[in-house]
Amino acid sequence: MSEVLLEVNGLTKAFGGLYAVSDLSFSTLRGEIFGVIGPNGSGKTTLFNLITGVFPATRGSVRFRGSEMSGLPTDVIARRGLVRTFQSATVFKKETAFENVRRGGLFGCIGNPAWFFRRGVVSAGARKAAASAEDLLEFSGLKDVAGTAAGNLPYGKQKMLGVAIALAQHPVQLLMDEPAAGLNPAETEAMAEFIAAIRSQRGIDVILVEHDMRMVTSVCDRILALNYGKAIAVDVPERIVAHPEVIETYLGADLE
Amino acid sequence: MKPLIRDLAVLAALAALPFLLDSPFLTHIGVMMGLYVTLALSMNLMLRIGQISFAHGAFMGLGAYGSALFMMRLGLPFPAAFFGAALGVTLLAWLVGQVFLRIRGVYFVLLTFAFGEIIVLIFTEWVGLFGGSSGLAGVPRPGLFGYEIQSRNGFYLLALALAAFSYASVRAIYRSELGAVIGSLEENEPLTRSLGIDSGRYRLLTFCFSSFLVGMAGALYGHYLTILTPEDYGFSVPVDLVLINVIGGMAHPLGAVLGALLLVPLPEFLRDARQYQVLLYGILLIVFLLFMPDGLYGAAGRLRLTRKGRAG
Amino acid sequence: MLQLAIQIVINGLTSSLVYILMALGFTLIFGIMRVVNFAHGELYMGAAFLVYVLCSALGWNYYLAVLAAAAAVGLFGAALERVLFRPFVGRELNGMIMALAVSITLQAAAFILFGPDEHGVERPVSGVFELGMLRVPLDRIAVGLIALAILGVFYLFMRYSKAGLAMRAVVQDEEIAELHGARPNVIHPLAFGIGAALAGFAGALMAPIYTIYPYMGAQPMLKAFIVVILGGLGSVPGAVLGGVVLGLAESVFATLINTTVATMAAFGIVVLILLAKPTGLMGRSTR
Repeated sequence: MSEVLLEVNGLTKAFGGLYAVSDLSFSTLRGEIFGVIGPNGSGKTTLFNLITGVFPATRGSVRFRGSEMSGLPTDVIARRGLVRTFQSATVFKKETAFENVRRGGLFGCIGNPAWFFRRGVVSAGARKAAASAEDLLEFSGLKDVAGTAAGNLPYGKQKMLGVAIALAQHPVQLLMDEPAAGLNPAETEAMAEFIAAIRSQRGIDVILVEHDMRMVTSVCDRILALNYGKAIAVDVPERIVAHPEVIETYLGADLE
Repeated sequence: MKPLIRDLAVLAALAALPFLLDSPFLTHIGVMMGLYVTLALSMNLMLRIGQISFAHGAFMGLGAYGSALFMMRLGLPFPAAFFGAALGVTLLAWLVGQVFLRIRGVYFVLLTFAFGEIIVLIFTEWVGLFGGSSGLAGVPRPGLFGYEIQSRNGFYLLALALAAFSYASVRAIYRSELGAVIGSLEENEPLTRSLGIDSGRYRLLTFCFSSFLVGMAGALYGHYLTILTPEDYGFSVPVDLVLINVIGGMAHPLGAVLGALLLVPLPEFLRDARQYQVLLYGILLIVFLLFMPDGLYGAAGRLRLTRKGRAG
Repeated sequence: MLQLAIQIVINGLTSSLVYILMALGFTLIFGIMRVVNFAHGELYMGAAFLVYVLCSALGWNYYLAVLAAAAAVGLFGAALERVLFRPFVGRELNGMIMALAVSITLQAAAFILFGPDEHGVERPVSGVFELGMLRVPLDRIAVGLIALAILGVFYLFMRYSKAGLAMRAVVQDEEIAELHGARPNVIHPLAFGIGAALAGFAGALMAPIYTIYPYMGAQPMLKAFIVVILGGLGSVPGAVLGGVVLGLAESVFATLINTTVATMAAFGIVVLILLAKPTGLMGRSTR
């Protein structure tokens, strides 16, 4: 029996009178790649923001590795091992790819400025971050552009860099916000392989919120389908694509 | 030559300057330059996090009045009064910063502006403590190791020490990982926070250190002038500091130093034509904002790059 | 007692009208271009000096001079937008610093041209309106009536004219307004020009009431700033509401305690509003 990693219970978020997410419950198991799909307005983004601490929930709980995360600020959640990537390529444009990943590794060690005063924290952290950056750039296929300013990289590589930066924090679970957004089919394929490698080679669990059905069904172990802020179904890809309500929601979408 | 040796040599040369030149007028300019370098660097820190504090003039005043009153009313010796006042300003920054720093952009400027005005009005209204609009006179001279500093040269050395400390510390901050964090916050705050950085604490730290520098500069200024008047600490101080940073160049602390060195002597030389000087400042600021946003330091950097390009 | 209360209210309202003129211009400029126009007080001052030059030096009719001065300042404002502020669209802090630069330049220029001494313009009407124990100077009444007329024209313009509608749309959402045909290159200078003209009217109307000198714009600027924060940066009805509130509150405080405390209280309220709801009492959250 796999252990539960992320447990969402009765999660509800209301904006005024509008319920973006209502009474959502699901959990992810250790070692899983978990997908979340839904049309625009289904609450995918809100769910994402709730888990990563962008705003607090109206009701319900989010437990990660047994601890309650709801109400904690984003930086604390990241330091606990639940790390997110961004939908648009979010990098430090003026710094090199190497420096971007190095900062990803270092900043978690100095989240609180008081830690600068602890002996050796900064120097040890910086050394580890630099070593880890070399390794991660290779792993992400960005070794050849390590010295290029991130803002000068093509969009696809910037998105990969965004993932590398997140990986630099050595997360337990990676939350990816539409990793395929803005990528062409070849890049999407590469991203899907990359996500699989993140799980198989690095032992990092992944949750991805995505629009691209092909990618989600190919790489995820289980998928949560949302509509109007509520869960329609949680199941393996084959059964999700055959689910009548899911098909209805995605009428016209390519489910192959 | 190792950078540290070079820096110390420059410092020694600067320290010897007033004794060599022996001109009270030039030494006075030196004192003001030292103070303004410190002030400009304090504003540079705030510009670095994109939160321009228009309360800095009032903070300078609190440093000045604070140190003066600690010596005059509580009888504290100069070092205790000086650092006590500076730390007092820092404490105030720490207290209000917790709420103020959540506000960003122009709203933060307006907020700190209003807060600063309240403080200056208190200087004017609380006549019993601060002496009102006619000011507080008879501020005692600093005393160090039993020796009272009365001469301009003495003040120059103090101002130089303060400027050197400010420059060294700000430069060290910017070069360190602390600087990397602060720069990252300004460049992309959501990304930086997603990497585990508690942005609120870093902003507060920056604001506190910036206020510490301002408090010290204010305290020294007060002891130098020996008369404190509220209007010296109003809105025009932060405006001048922003001016200095824009013209000198905000990207590197040397830019702030450059701006201070260039703009501080002007009022002293153009003493009678003060309004022409202000007009010049205004026009310079407009020109620099439009055409040279990285300031003189940035322009010099680009010049160096084009020279290298041509040579190579 | 009632007489005192009514006197306080009337004093308050006559100040309010001028504050509202200043605040409206300031808030329009911020609402449309997100520029905190620190030079607004200098536009007020510029118009006052223009009236001085036209009336005292050239002998113009006062009311003509008011119109001319406001128009000139309005055109100047539009030019400022085109030349100095347009490059800073989207960069609020830099736009604000530019406004500071313009402010100190204009103050220094006025000082150099006219010197530090105070100048005066003859009051167009003199005498006092008396009703029982109530005394209101006639020139204040004139100012109040003209201000009301200007506000009326402004209201009609914003409500019914094509440009006015476009401007209100831009304040709400510039992108959507553009889709509906509002052209920023027309709207921005128009808004700055109108905002400046409003400040110009305020300055020209107050020219005979107070003395004219280079720093005279600082106080009205401060008042406009407080009013706009109260009512909400970018909110036109907020500026009116804020103007009334400030005018009345100041009148009460100044009569009962003293003006410095009144100002401190005003700034204190500004701090609280900026902390709690930076968009003001009536503003919408834009970010």
